Amino acid sequence: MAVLAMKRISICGLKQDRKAILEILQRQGEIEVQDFVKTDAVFKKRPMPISGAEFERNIHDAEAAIEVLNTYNEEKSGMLSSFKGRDIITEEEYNGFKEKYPEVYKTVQRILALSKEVAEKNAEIVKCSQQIDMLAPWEGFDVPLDTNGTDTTSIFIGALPGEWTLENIYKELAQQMPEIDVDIISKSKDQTCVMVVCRKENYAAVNGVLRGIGFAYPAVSCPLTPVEQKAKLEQDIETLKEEVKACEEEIMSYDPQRPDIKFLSDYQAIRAEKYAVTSSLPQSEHTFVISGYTPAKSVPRIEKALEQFDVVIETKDPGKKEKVPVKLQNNGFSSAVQGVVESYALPKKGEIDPCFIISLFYFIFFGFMLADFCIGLLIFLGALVLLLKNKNMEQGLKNNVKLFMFGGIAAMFFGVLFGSYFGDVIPAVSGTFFGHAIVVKPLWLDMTTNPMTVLTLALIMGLIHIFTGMAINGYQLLRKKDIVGFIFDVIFWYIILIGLIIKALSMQMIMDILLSGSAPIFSAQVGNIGMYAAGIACIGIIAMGGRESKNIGKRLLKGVYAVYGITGYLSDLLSYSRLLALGLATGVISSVANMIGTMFGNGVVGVIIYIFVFIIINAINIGINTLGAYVHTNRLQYVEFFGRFYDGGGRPFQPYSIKTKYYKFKENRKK
Amino acid sequence: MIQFLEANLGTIFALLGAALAVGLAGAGSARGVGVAGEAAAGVVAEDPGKFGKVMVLQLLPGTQGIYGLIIGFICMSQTGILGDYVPLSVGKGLVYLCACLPIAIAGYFSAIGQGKAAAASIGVVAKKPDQFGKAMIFPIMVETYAILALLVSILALSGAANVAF
Repeated sequence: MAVLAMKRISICGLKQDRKAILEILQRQGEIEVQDFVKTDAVFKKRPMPISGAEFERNIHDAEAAIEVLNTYNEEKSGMLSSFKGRDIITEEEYNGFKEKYPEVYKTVQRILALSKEVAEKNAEIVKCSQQIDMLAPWEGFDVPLDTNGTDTTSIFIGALPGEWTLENIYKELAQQMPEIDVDIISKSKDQTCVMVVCRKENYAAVNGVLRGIGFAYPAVSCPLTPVEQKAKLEQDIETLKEEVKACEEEIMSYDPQRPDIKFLSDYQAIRAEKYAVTSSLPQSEHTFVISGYTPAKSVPRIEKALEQFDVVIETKDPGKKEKVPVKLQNNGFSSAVQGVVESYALPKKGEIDPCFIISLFYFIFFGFMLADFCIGLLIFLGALVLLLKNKNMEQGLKNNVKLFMFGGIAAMFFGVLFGSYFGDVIPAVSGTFFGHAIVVKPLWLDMTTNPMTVLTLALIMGLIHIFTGMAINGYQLLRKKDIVGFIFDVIFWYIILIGLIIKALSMQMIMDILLSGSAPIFSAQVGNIGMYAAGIACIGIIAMGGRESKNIGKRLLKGVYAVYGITGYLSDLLSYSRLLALGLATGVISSVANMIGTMFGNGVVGVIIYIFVFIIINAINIGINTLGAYVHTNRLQYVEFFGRFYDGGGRPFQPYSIKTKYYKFKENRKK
Repeated sequence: MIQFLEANLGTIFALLGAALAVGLAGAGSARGVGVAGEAAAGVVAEDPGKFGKVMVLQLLPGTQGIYGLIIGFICMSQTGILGDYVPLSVGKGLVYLCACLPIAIAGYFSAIGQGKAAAASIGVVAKKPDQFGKAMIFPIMVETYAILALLVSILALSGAANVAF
């Protein structure tokens, strides 16, 4: 309902209680730590012995270990698991973890070491199989590849590039004939594997010739014959594979400890924040001071929690110019739109929390844009089931789900009002398949046959919305004691707009368009009074609209420009016609489904086709139009409504608290 | 042939209107969604976790095609192209053709413009996922003009039934 009032709080305590006090404050999460107390000769910041980097590394290790576990055993996550929220953990479990910590830490390191080993071994396997591939041309050759000769002979074993015949090789080696023997072991397009035997004294000459034609020794060399070598490599691969399997099995054996590892990550995150805060506190020999902002209503809670310690707690109101952090608090209904407001901007100083006002309009617009009973019912039930099934849902997400739940209810209401149930599903189905069309009368009127009347309603709603925005602007100006602003920027604009509306409603032409030709509401005289009033207000705005300028000419020009702002009001107002357009779209698309589906008439085939068409088109319809209703309602709030009074720009309240990824602490729920 | 045209020219005009509404608005949406989709795919390649958000943004330029479909459908059902066929007068056919033009033209161009804005907004989400709410507003601004066109097309179609020719 409001922006929470903030107070400055300073707590001075004994150093021996420091750890306990900081842990309590962290669990409460009600203080945003600030340096209000300046350091001096006595009070100094004392960095902690364990640095933040160490926590970071531990968190990183834990995350990496979970990642490793995930590669072997992906955690089952259903489609809706993102709604589930974090598991809850009690204080006892948290405290109990201190004893488990070293063991879990060891597990994490072991998992990481094992995962590294697996990677290394896999690389080794790849290397071995590459070697086996290289041995392929030497298959069946029974001399070790690095043999280079006997007592009297030199032996060359290697490959020549390209395809060679025995004849060609002998031709190249003609000079050394006949004391030479060439064997082709294998040949392919790329290379010819050969063994050349010659007398030892001819080594240099043969070597020269062979080099000349591109002879190269094999890349794999070993004292074994290729056959033996291949067998050995295969043996190696087998062994490595078994080792990898053993490693993987060991990793898998740690899978049940996953919750502990997740907890380790959270535990370290909590400690990291605590240590960071501790290092930033001014401390003397025996005392320490923590200071910051806290919501005024939290002060008694903090005092109560700390009464067991010897502490001094001091609170005071923040100064006028301070940039106090902003925290919103709303009742169960209005908090549904809190996410919408927060994703625009938090209120800055002097602005009200618009959540409550927005929640009054939001669902009306949302429902108007969907305007179908059945679709509204589906959205409502879907959101309700999500809420009931996931009790631990995160607050922000919960608000959004609630938003759709309330929106669904509003859509049901407007659906009944305009008589839309999946478009015209009731008359279409009863007429086609049961031979007697049941007509469901709308509570008020049918949008498709009376679009102008509904358009008028949409514009009236828009007018109320815009007028409310102006009223809030006026309220904010009064709170700032800006009386002149209140009169000329708010009251005069009301006079102009209301005057013009009275004038319009006294003209038959406007009545013909908006209210299907009924007689003017106001007589011509009243209309003229409205116009004169608007004219006077207009002059007032020309005179005062540019009051911040000293120069008269400039001031009047600015005033004229301010009056030009009337076009802004007009276009804003027309923007609300989207209520009608989008409201029509939902019903018409459903009706399209009914029309196409019933084209095939009655009968088994007809019914099957109908059901098929109905489900597909309506699924698309719900998706597109719910998205449309959501984004366009947001737009009406952000542009047309906030444009009147709200800039935002407040700094969010960032308390010193428990910020975890996997688990939620129980105390945090009691608020 | 000439006789056929003479007898059915009105309906042909009306059908041309429906075709333009569905065709042009759909073509615009296809381009818009395509442009946004390219940007979205790039973001998902970097961070698959943003899929939900960027998909919503990619979908935004898709609505013009739906508006076109609505108008095309209303036009066809009112002129008897769907259902019991009664030839229209040429004048009435032209009225229906004109009624379809706003969503055809504004739908085509606004969908492309919205697609570009959506692609840029996807860039915002890539860098600052928490600014999703604001990023969504920029493409929505463009859509206003498609909605206004849709509105005029609907009003014109519902008025066209009463035109006497």
